[in-house]
Amino acid sequence: MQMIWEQIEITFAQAKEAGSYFLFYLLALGLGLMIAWDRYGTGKAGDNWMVEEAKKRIQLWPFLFGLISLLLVVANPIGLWILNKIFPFRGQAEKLWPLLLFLFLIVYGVVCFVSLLGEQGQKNMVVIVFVFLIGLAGSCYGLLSDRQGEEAYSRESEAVSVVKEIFSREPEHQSAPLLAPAKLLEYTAVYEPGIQLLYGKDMYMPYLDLGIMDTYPEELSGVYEAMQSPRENLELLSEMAQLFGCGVMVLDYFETAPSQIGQFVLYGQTQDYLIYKTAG
Amino acid sequence: MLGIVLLWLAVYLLGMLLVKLGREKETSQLWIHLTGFFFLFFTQGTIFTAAQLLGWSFIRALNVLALVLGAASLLSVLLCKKELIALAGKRKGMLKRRKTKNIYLMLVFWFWLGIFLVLCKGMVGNRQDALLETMQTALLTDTMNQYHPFTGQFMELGVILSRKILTLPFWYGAVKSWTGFTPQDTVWVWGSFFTITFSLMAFSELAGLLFRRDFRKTWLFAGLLELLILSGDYVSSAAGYRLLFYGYAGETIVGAVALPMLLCVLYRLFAPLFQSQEEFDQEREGITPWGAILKLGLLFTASLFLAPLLWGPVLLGMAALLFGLCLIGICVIKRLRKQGGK
Repeated sequence: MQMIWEQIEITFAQAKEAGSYFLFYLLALGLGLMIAWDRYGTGKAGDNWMVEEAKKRIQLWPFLFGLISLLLVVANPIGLWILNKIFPFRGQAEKLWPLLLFLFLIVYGVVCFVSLLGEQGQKNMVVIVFVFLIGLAGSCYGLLSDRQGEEAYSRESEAVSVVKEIFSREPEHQSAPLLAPAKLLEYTAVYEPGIQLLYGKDMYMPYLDLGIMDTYPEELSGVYEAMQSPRENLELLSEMAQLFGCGVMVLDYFETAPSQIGQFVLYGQTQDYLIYKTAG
Repeated sequence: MLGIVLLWLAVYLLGMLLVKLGREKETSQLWIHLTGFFFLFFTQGTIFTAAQLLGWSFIRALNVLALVLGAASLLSVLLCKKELIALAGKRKGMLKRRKTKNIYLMLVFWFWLGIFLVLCKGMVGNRQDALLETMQTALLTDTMNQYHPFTGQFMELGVILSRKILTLPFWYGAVKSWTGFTPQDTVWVWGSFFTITFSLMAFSELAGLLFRRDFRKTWLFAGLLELLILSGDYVSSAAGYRLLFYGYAGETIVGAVALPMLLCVLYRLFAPLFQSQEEFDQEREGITPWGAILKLGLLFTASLFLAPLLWGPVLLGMAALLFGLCLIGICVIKRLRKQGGK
């Protein structure tokens, strides 16, 4: 049963990853073009199945809006390049996707399509099929959850609970900044804001510009680099942590971790982390 | 929960006040809610920006905001007494069918959005949130942008001016203080909940205008849109694109709520160019030039406080430009058809 459920999950994930929402969007635009051709062009695309009265009442400008957005802005490399020069969006082109009216046009297209059909049975069938397809395209209406995220959360919370235990036993460490791997820093900043950190994620995420004018000392970037391979940089990390007044130092777990590094002694360990604190 | 209910009431009363000031005669409940939503962001943005420039503490700024919202709500009650009484159905001549529709609409919204709330709770693995961290730092230190949001350490130089106008973290701090929810629930759950709710309202209002208030079509649209959002991976991302990425973030609020509302305003203003006089109920659906100016001004200034580096007004400006292109395109096609017909 477990294997069957896992196979279903993989199928859903693959359908989602294939960009099926975008396919619906293109179908909606296609419908708009078809109605426009039927109304303004010489084609007779919908003579056999479109209800004439319903066809005349459909407002076409949303389809045109989406099409222009797609062709001139979102899917246009030259348009994006020009826009980025005028107003830098730092390469994050998805910030422009609201211009596509993505969600709106998918559903607007379906409702317009339903209104063009003559029989009630056909309308009901289209709605049912659409509901099924979008469930398949997405996270199955919330049934598929982010298990990886939950697992990471529990590992990190376990490590931080050890850090908090140190603070409760030795309050003098509370005012000292914490040195830890990036994932743990991010967790701590969100879930334990009372703990000061030696540096934040703006150290290693260059696009994350908070407009902060205070810059990190140059030495801290050396500390961050050393934290990427702690086994080879134990002495350096211990010295820098002491220099910056850190009371607690957390490292990624490795097998041959010493019980003491400079002034730091091993206090505890979890599945993924080693927790050191200053001796005495 | 009382805090949430009072906030919702404040949004509605602010919306009624602005609709009254805009001299709009007949308007939908969705329109009132949306107007109030942006008036709220405009108000909080103005107060929190001023508070930072004046060097106020966070709590002091919160108290001033609460006072202003309270006073505005009271003013709304005094000025819109007749409309509120009519809404309660105590006035003679109130159409029973319309009242039933509104109640039905609200019930279904709350039903589906209750499911949203449950789904939003699945944000356990979420992290890396500058907005949340800035909010928590402000609450912990009772200052605004004087402590580094990630490290919690005091900043000698502080932040640049353009960042001081991004007041969304402080707004969520206000909501957290007034409602008592945890910071994570306030931002990730309630922030997303309200953004998605108002996004639904904005898109439904636009659809209602396009479908000429056809009850069945508008309902079908709203229901399918809710299902589409429910099905989507709106917390993280899906296949390199996002439907409602980070529902609580300022850029999402601009893209998912302000943008459709902007299109509603523009469509109401220029509808006679798209539809014939008898098709578009100008009396009911139209908007006065003054009302349009008020709404557009509200949208653009509120978006300034929501998204970084002027991105909000830029995105809305681009949308307005694209709408203009659509307008020109349709006018040209209609003219060509007329000439072809001759």
